[in-house]
Amino acid sequence: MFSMVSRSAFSLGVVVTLLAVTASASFAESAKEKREAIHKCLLAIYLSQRKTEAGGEYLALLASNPADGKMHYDYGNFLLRGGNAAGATNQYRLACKVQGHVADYQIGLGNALMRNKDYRGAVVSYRRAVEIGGATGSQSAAQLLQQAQQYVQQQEQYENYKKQQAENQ
Amino acid sequence: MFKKVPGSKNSRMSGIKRDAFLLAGSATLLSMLCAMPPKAAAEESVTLIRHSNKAADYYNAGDFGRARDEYRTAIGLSPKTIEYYEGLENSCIRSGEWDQVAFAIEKIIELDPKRQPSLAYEYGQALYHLNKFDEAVPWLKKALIYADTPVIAFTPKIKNIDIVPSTPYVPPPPPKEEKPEPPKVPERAPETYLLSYDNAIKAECIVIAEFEGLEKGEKGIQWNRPPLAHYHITKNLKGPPLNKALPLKFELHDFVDPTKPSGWKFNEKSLPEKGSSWILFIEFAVPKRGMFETFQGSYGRQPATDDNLNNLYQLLDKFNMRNPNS
Repeated sequence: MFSMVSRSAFSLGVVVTLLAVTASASFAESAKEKREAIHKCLLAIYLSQRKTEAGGEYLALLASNPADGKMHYDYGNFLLRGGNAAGATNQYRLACKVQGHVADYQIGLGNALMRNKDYRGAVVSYRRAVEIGGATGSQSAAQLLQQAQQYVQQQEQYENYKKQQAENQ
Repeated sequence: MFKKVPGSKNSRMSGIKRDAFLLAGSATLLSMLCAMPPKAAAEESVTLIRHSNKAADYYNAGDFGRARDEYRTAIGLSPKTIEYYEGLENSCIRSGEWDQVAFAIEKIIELDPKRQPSLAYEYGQALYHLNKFDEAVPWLKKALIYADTPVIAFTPKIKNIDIVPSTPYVPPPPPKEEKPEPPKVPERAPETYLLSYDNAIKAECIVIAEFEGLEKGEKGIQWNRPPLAHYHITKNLKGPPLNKALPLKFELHDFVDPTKPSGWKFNEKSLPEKGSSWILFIEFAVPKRGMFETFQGSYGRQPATDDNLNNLYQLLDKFNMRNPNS
């Protein structure tokens, strides 16, 4: 389930990134804008070629514009896809910090927390996403929340079982 | 219409011929351009400036499609001017025609390789949009290095079409005041116009004869009382056949100016030499009082020199008056 979630998140991220690059095809005037445009081009190329250099381009873009929530989200998707759930969690957190009203970012954070087995944290994130509404992912936030809650229940049951075993011993 | 014969070399041959034809055509065009006179070159430059100005107008008005067309026409007329490639590049960047952008930048770099760093960004972008990712990456990386270099924004220039002629204009000289020509003085008196070979050949009979002398015992010769002279016809050029012995009224003057010069006296020394050859224009081939009369008196007797004979023969032939076998 996690792999499916992360795959969908990644594909969404790539599409959004490419759209963003295409949209910014008009020519930059200042050096900063020019650099951003170049990094976006390189990022799109590396992503299409599935190269790890894309991470460097994300960092370069975030260095020039740290308040870009969408870029944090995309970078989070990229890291999650590469198996770096902790790094992805950080990026999603930053995205949610910058733009907390976007449901997709909350879902992304929830996915990363699920990968880290922080189911309670994931439930919180998914719940926020449900509250905000308007998520664009393939799975609805309510379904994800339900799944996360089930995981939490299972985790609680397991913890209770462990406690009982410890008490019996 | 023309089907390719399978396995034959027709297509290859036609391709070679076509290439040769194109090569020859381009060489001819090149030679024509080289041999173009300065005036033609000036006219071409006017056309070029017009297209360039149109392109600039369209560019400034935001009609990048038409600007691109005009820049392409200008490039066709002047393929080594970087300015037009820059115009094409910027127009096509605005209209998103990246293949044209790449073409223009490649040409600029070809003409001026020093501009490679400043165009790396645009060329990388063009290659990226053309999905040539592997080629785009090095250009974009190069563009990152030169990203901080200030770039002068493209502004299309509008040129004046004041043609400076190759040779300075020289005003025509003022018209000269034409003075009325003075009336021509005739070379000879108009009344003497009658005395010409053109008139003389109208005589009924023209012969070449030798002078034999005056009639024996001729006395009382005066200005208006001519003697009788004897001639011997050697050739009959025109008219009926006459007796070889020709009695002729030997006029001492022509009829145009019959006035007698003062102190004139007949002198036998003034007579022609015996045996000398003469052209005789006999006005009427009928004798009067036993004598033939010549055209206009003494003018009807012309010495048979080569010039006179040539002149006479030409006139007789011209009017087809000459006797056969003469």
